[in-house]
Amino acid sequence: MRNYFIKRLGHSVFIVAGLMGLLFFAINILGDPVQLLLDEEASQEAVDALRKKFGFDRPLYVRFGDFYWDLIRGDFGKSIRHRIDAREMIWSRLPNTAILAVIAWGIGAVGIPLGMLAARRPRGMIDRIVNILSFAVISIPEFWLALMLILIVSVQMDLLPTSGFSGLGPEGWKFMVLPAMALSPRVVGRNAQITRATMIEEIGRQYVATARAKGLAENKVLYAHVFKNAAISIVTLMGDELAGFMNGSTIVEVIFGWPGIGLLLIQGINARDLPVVTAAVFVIALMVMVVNLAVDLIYSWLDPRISYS
Amino acid sequence: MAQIDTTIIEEKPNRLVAIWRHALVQAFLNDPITLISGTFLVLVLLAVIFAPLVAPYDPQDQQLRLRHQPPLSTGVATIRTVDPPVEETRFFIIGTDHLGRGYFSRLVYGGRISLSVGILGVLLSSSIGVFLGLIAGYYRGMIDDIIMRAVDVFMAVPLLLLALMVLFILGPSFVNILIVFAVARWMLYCRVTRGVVMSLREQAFVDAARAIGCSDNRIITRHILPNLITPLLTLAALDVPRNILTESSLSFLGFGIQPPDSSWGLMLSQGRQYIVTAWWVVVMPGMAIFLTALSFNLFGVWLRAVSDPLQRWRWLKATKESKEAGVQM
Repeated sequence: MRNYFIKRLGHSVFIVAGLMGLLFFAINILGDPVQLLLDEEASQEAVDALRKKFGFDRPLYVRFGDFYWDLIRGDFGKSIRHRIDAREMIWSRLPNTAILAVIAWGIGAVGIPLGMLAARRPRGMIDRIVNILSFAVISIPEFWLALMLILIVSVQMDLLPTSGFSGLGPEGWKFMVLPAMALSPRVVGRNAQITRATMIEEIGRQYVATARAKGLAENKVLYAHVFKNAAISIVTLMGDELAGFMNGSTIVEVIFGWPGIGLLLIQGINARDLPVVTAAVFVIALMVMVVNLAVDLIYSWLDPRISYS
Repeated sequence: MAQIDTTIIEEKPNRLVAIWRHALVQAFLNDPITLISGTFLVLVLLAVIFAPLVAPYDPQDQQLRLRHQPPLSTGVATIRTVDPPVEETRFFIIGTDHLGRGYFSRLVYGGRISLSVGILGVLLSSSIGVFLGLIAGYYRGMIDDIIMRAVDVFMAVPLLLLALMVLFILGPSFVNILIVFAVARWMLYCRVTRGVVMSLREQAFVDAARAIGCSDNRIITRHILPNLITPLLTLAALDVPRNILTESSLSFLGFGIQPPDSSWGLMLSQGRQYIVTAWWVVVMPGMAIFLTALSFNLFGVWLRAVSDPLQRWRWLKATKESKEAGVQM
């Protein structure tokens, strides 16, 4: 178990390091960091001065070493736009993104019983309805859903504020409802599909026939045997869903002005604020790594065979 | 030996009838959901391909007097490109935008870009993925390790993050969005290809091909590649809507298609500020994205079901029950 964990940890560190290497490669070799920082019509003197100021005139391998050394120390430098430590900016926004993720993911768990219901009778009435609904919700662009919610709930019905943020305390719930409503349908749909597919696959296995043959009640077969085994894949795929959460939350944060990491990243890109972008990418990669690691651990706990292989 | 057996050869149905009676076509026609989504897709594709014929007006033609006309309204447009200016009565089935441009025409032309990004993105990422997957699965060894480690890194990154990184460095444009999909989606195809290749290369027919002296190239292109078509096709059908959704998100954020070109996502982002006064500028492009993505998804799932031998049996059986005669396997 311990060896398995260390192996997975090493794997995750490798992935984050690889991703950051990709970012370094993209910024320094495909592009020019000074060009990214300045406008296109900046004078040659300004370019040279900036190059010297941020140390971009040093050889590539020195910068490469420095880049990783800074990452290890967690020092990304000051935000060029706001003159604040980029790390501080990221840390202050992390909880805002995390709470949105947890709420949407929690609501998304509704998809599991829906998928179980659908799997009871493949191609039956319930299955068809769940199937179409789940495909419908994953086909809706999140930002469009967000705009529709603003149009209907905020503008027409005047129930909730269109956008904004007032802390994570009890008075902040008003601002949280719409972003969560925009994000969760996709998670519900994905979970229903995943559960349905894995349950149907499990039902086709031999042990289900055995369980039925010995006269076990169908409910017991489904919930005690099938779901337990299906849970292994469901957990993994739900973890993937949580790890891919930034895909949807970035744009929803932009629309609702929700001060999370996604909004910060977009603002950083628009302001050509390299330290903030680097820090945001690093923290998102770390978050994904932690989620994947947690999934691996739960996985090996659910299925003891994994850690021995 | 003088007697000659005469067997009555059943009259071969004509080609079109044969296609019509094919089990797959019948399965398609007998499933209402698949039929509707498939038909919708064909209509959208035709409309987009023949955009100049379908769009009633020039999508760039601004008529400031006719700004924000509601759906199903008529207005008088002035055409100033000719001298003297001509007046024309126009009918706007889904209204006009903030510059008085016919929204239906814009939707058709916007769909051109949205759909081509979706489809070309899949073609590009799948060719890269299939190429690397073939190499990894066929030659194994160190090259396989390197490719699969790269797959791991790319798989771990959220799609939008990778897309934003690429567009941050390269700048927003149509071509760069295609590069995003090539960079961000190749590993899906690589994984599937590698898996199939690895199981195929142990099969007897590959050994036989090698025994009679086929080169690696020939084995890969003639014996292995054809077996990859079905799994890749279903993967691609499900990946197109994903690309369309991603493109619309990127364009909405301002990192995608740039004006004066237009895509559904960009139309949404331009219409966003008028959401209160002119709902249709936000509702219509969103509906277009939603319905197209949904149709692709439903069609892709059907494709996956009928290409899976176990599931196909179930679908075809259902078809047979509902329509007793005329179905052949």
